[in-house]
Amino acid sequence: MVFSPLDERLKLGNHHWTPETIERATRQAVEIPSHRRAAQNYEALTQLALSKSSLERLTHEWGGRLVAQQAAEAEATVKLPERGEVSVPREVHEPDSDTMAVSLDGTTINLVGEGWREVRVATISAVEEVVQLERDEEQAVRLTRHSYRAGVWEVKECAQQ
Amino acid sequence: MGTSLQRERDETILIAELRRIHEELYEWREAHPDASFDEIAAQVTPRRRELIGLLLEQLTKQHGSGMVVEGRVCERCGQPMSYRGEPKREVQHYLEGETQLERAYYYCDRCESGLFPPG
Repeated sequence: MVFSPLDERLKLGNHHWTPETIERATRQAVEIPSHRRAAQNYEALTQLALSKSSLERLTHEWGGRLVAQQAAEAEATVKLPERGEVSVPREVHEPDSDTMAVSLDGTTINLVGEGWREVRVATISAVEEVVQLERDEEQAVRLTRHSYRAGVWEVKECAQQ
Repeated sequence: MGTSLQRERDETILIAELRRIHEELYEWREAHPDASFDEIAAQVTPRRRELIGLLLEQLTKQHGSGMVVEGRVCERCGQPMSYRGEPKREVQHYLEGETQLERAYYYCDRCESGLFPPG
């Protein structure tokens, strides 16, 4: 076990790069479908060397953390209390409108090293009624204040989100 | 908190470095009267990063190197950790470049793992 109090105070991890630097570099990696080109792009913008393999490793590491965090959040919403555990009711949030819309959709994306995978997306929106004067005051709805959750999930995993 | 002596010393070092960089750039510009803006900037950028790297190094250590009087206890086994000096590590920031950071470093003899500091 090793420890550096100053590293901890400065919120520096074990990497050579600061957390914000890793965030900037991995942003290139998720926007550009080639780690080599993403690393070259980062180097061109910052004039700092970053190898393809380092960028790939950082992207997997940070992406893995986000996936684990989302999975923990999802599990917490469906997990039953353990025997003897005191059940604390979750905070109930006020919905954005009396009627809410839930839309489900999916698409396929080409993941580096994995090929084509299906992405499932659930969108939750507030429903606002809109009177359309041009069409004899016919009522229509407008969806606003969207939030969404998306992931590369199988059907069973998707149901638990 | 940094002492006034440390503050003066840091300032002296920083100004001396700025003077050195200014001198270098001035000489370079004398020898390159037809340089474009981008060519001048290409000379400035790495030196700016050296200077700001030095400033960052000073600021990160303004409140000390992280050395603690009472020592540290290992989170894994609860034994006191031993002080192993202030090894350097390099930290890279996407805008400011590289900074050398000397910081106090503790090691757990019982766990005997991670002999080498990160960085």
